[in-house]
Amino acid sequence: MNLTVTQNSPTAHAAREVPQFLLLSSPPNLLRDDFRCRFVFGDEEVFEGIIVVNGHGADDVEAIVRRSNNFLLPIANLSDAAIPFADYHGQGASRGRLEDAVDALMRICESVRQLPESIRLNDEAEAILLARVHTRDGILAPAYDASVGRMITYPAAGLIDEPWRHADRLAEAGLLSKHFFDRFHCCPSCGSSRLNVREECSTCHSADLFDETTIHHFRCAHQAVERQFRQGEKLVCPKCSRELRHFGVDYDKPGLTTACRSCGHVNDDSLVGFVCVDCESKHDGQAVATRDWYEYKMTAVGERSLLSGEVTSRKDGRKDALDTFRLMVGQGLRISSRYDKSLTILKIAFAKADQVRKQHGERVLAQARTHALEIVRGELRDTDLVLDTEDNILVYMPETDTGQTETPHRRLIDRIRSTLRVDLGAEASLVAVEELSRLLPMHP
Amino acid sequence: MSVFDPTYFLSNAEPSTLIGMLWFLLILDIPRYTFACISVVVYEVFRRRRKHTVVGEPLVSIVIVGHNERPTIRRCIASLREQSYRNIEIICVDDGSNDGMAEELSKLRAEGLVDGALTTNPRCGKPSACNLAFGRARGDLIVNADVDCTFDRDAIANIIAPLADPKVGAVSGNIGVRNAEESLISGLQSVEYLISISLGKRALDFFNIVTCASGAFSAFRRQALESVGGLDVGPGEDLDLTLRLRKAGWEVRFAEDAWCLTNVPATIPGFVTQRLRWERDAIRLRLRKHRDVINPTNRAFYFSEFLHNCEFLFTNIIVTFAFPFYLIWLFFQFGSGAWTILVLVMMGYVLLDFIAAGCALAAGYRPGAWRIWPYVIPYGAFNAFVMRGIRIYAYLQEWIFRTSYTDRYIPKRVLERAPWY
Repeated sequence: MNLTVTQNSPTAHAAREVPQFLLLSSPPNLLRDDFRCRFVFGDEEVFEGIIVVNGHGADDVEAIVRRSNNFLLPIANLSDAAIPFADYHGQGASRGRLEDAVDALMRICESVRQLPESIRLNDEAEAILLARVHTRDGILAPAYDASVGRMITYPAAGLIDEPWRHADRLAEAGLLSKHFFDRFHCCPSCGSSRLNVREECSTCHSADLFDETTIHHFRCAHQAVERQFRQGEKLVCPKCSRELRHFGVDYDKPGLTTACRSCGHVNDDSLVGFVCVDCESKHDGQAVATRDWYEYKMTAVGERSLLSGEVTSRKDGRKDALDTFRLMVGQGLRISSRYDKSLTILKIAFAKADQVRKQHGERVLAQARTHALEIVRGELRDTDLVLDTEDNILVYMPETDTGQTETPHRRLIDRIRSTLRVDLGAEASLVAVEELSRLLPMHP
Repeated sequence: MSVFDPTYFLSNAEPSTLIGMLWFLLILDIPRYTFACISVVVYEVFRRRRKHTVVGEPLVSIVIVGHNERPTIRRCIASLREQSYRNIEIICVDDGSNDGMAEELSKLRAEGLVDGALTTNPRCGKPSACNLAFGRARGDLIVNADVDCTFDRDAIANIIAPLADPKVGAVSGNIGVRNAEESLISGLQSVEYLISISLGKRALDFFNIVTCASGAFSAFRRQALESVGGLDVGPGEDLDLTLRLRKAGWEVRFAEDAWCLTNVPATIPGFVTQRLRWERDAIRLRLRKHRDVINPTNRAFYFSEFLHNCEFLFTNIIVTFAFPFYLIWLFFQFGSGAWTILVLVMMGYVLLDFIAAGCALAAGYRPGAWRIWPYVIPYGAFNAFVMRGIRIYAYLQEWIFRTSYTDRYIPKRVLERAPWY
């Protein structure tokens, strides 16, 4: 976001006693002089909030907010049109509703005015998000929204893009607390959660399934689906060619199976499959990844940090790990060349990761990788440092001669292979110093 | 020294006298044991030459059927999922259980450990439940195993190896006893399994007369199974299927290195019930249902089939029924001196059993197998008196009363409609 101070900037509002709200497309009969605020009717005026009275104005709201550069602006929506990021929703432009909308907006404005200027003027998405959460009852709550592919929106985040990413960082820093809300399946092709879930044939993945009873012929012990016995109106055993005349005497029906009309395969239990409504791709239940969504709440630390005007102490676990690894290896290399000390860097690669992803799905691959990482950490010394990059696991072993590591490497790989349920094709190799920069990601 | 002391007896008796007294051992038992041991030695020499390897990695469907086996099903499946042979699908049938086995199967299915989970209710019996699963199986090779079995990691790879030969329709796996040390009776059965399966079936395989692809662990070529219509109504459906496969021209082999472990009955009533059923089935199937193959005037007569039936007639019927006559003859001839001769016979059995068990272990030693050695000592007497006694009783039951037709192993409503032979 680029900050340009306009007349609608938060600084301009802070000094004003009576707030002014931009009223979009209002019928004149709603307005009287006894409101605790003033109304303006064009976005060139100064305003601290927006009230959309009917649908004509709804389309302009996003553009007006962006033009104003004030992403803390509260918005009330009294129209039939959907404004998912509005702070107040009250359908029907009545005098009472307008009063309620004004009250709601004034509460938020009051809260915004109490923020330090450094926060109100901050153009960092995380600071804006934290300020919005603070001024909107301290909660960043997710809401189901079928109009977006991910099916979840955070109305309190306003127009901030992908607010969950910023919220996660704020949660890592302890400024927000994170609470599980729901888990969604996501299309591996396009990431959408608009998926049709259906029962499918385990062989051809058709959803054209039907239930069929099995018949057990007592005399010859043949047991198969009814269609194999059916000859017109008669039931004839396909094994011994005898007619089955009497239920309970010649035969019974001890089970029910699911059969596929497309390929004729008999399933004991159908599979769950997904079809993405957005990109029309089809996926097995196991191959579909899941995504967890959270509700975020302001913490006391977050509130103190915000009111003091400092939204800092951002943490990024993966970046920290990478930085630490770089630092330690760099230092190790310097000591190695200065004092002729040995060190070893080991790479554990997973040659069959793609194969596992295709066969078993993203979830199984992720679980197996996590398990492998735990095994590596468990097998190594306290002094060794492990880094999980996207592609490999790197292990920095200070004071270790490469010749000493062959047996532990083999043991480590054997352990991974024998413990994991899927074969990731784990292989260990020594990393040359020149190769290291290529293996380390630039930035997570 | 008394004349009733066996050592004195052995050192002073004339060879002709000894032969006259110990004829049962010398004529009926020693040749059997010698034949088996020599066969195994020869087998081991020639085995590597005729070892087959399955080309590629064809899909193997493993069919597991259980009734009220909730406590054991997970262990069995876990053992199968540890196999070195990876291209497998596991299809389980819950045959009318009421102990929650169906729910356990659903869990296993959800965990991806089982590829197919079928349920029949009411109980249909193992043969028809297997037939249902055979129809659902996708592999050209089908392994049928008992739910209380667990398997060596290379068991599936080894049991399907002989099926590389297109003439082979079925392969029987090797079976060991998991609970050998649970009781004396289970320890004795572990010796019996070692001698009769690990050693005995190798000998039969050498002559290509394996006649029972055990229901506990066997592999089949789908084409062979379909050619005979799968399993017929039991009990004894595994023996019956093997005999029908042989009649249809398929070879049946034994994979001595395909090991599964099973629990045997650890109590006398459990043991007796199981053996009575097995022995009755042998009579019903071999001498009634499939009597055509031992009748030289019948069109279905084959010399190879006649050969394995001769082996059955000799080892199971003649030896079994001759033993009580031998005992009567001993006491009639020698009075109380018969006890000394019996002790000598038992000593002979101990020696033969040690040799046979040693041969079996030398041919395929399993870690921990030495634990069965103490049970080898009483095994001879157990086999001679207990097992032969059970066998005689079962044969008479079946010959006279056809008791196998009322066996509770198969549901009553099914047995009532099954054909009589």
